[in-house]
Amino acid sequence: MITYLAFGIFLAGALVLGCVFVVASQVARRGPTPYPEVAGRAYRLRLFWFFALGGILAAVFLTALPYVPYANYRLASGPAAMHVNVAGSQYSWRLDGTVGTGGKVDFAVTSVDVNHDFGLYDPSGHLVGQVQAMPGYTNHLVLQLSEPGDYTVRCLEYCGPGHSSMFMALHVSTCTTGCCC
Amino acid sequence: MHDRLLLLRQLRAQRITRIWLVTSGLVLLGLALAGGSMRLAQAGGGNLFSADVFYEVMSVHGSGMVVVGLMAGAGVLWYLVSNEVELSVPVNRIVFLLTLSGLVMIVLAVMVFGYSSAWTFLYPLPEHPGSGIVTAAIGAAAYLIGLALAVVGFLLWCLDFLRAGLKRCGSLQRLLGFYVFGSAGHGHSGENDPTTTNPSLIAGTVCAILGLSACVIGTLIVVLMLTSLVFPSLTLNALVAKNMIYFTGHTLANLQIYVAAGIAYSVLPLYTKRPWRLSRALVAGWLATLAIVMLAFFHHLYQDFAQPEAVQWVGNVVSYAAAIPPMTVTIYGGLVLVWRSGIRWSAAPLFTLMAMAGWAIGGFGAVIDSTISLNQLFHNTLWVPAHFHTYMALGVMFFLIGATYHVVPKLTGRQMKENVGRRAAALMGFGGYGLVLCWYISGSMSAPRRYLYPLSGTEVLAWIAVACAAVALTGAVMVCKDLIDVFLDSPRYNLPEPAPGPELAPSEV
Ligand code: HEM
Ligand SMILES: [Cu+2]
Repeated sequence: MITYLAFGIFLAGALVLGCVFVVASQVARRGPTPYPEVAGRAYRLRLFWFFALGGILAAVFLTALPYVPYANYRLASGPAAMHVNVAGSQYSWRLDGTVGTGGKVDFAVTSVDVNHDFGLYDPSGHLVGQVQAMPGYTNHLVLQLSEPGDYTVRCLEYCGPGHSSMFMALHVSTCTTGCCC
Repeated sequence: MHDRLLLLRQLRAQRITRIWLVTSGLVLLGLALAGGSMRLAQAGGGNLFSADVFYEVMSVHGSGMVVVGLMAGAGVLWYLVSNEVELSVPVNRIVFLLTLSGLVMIVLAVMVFGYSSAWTFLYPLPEHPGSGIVTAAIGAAAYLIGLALAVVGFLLWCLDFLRAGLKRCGSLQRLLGFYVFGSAGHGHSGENDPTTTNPSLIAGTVCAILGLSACVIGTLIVVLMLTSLVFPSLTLNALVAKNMIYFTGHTLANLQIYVAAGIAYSVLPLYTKRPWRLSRALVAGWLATLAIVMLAFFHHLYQDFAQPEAVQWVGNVVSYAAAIPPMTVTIYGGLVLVWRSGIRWSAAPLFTLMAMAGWAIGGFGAVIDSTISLNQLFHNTLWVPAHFHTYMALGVMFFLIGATYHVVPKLTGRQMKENVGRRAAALMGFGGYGLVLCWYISGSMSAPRRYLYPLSGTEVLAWIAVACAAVALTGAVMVCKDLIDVFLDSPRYNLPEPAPGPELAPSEV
């Protein structure tokens, strides 16, 4: 699960940062050492830190690049096998079409009233993808679902007091065309 | 200026700053307690509040925190630099009144008329609130007007800051410190030149420019939405409206931390007895920030696939870049400033240091979420409140509390209790990090934000978070109580010593 990996990296980074602050607060009690001495060394080190940070950010950016969710990237390797129209409204979802695991599914998502967000949760309760459902626009979310079972569609954009009850079950079968089952 | 006039101005500045501090202290505490009640309601599975009430509380908590978190910082920064630039006391009073009346309007809109469309008021939600409350349309109008009042208040603050800064430095380039790039080098051009700028002024100026643009766009979208509310046949484009709202909302929320940085530039040097110097890196960092904050808001729209793709990439790159100035200038500089300084960790520098940690850690959480492909799985999950509470509740608020410990003796001649401060810091630190940690974990488990109940699997985390919030809130209550005690127990004015030695102003060393 990529989100757990992200959390692990975050936790490690946060702990390192926390340690830096704790150590700094202890070293700070020593002294006073004349400031020019401290500053001179620290600001030479800063240039290194600047490039290191820039390098890390650039590396993460490049690593994440292939996983862009936008439809043109997801469809680059071939067209979708199944098409589903999705319309959100306060507080329910209407889905037209069936969904299977055999190929890419193209969800064409819109809203009939306010902003919603189509979030698809797999049978074990993890988000597999999402896209905003906006009035006046149709957004295409392309997903390749790997396991069949009972998925849940949840609204992920606050749309009024009924927001948390705006979910529905979605059965995903093993078919490939979306016309069967 | 005549000595007595100067004294009068100082006393008036003290007075309005006291009002800012006490009011925002109480309001922020009340809002934080409301936040605690929300967390409890969520853990209890939506039994404590009805859905309508829960989202009303959420709307007050979010809007109030964004408005008051920003304005309290603006009020404190105003006081800290008021000896260096001739900021106007009457304007400050008007800013206070506008902010307060805006806040009262917002609270009325929610409590009386049932506004529940969140601080983000995404078009067309306020017109279709979906709550079945009959007065919700009036609520929406009152909310938007309240927001506009607060926004105009901040607009005035920005204008007055720029006016006073320009008066001191002569030109915007000087005020922003461009001269460090000149041949004179690292800001040494004329130590005693009264037209030089300093880090706090640069921070305030960048915030004022960004604030101006946010307030202009903010006023525009509020007026458009009010018009559409009154004449429903006039419809706005939902995507354009969303861009305008997030330009305003993200900028105002984000500015809190930059205003707070300006505060830290003035406070921390007084405790390390070292100057926070103007440097090329500092000026460059703030210029970069000026551009970054204008463009970073696009990360709120990654899941709006209708947005032009180029804009999404701008959002990603700029959000990453946003990490660089704080991590190499302000936070880095703060650590260098304390390093082997022989500092005694009294409450003021202690909270300031903790705030920098919250800024760094929360910023790291934000950078992760601002990666387009990760945002696909983190957007509107509890990861989002996790990261922004880290840098607001454990960053901005700590900067403000630290500055309060520093400023209160100057306003009242009385010290706040150090031992209370240190104990509160421990409670808020442990409780606060526990609270956000539960949110980070729940977010990686895909639990949605703004939900009435915890996603299955996250119930235990929700209860742990309630306990942690209670610990943190205890610390907040202790600080507020001490603040109020000191104010109640002190004379209306704190007359400066007959011949006060010139205070070590960080800029002028
Ligand atoms: C101990 C103190 C606090 C607690 C217990 C708390 C609790 C909460 C809770 C439960 C939520 C809703 C999260 C969700 O989406 O499910 C929330 C949202 C929020 N909080 Fe806090 N909070 C605290 C302090 C703060 C502070 C200090 C700030 C800012 C300066 C702040 C700003 C916000 C904002 C802007 C939202 C978003 C509201 C929305 O989604 O519309 N909070 N808080
Ligand atoms: Cu919703």
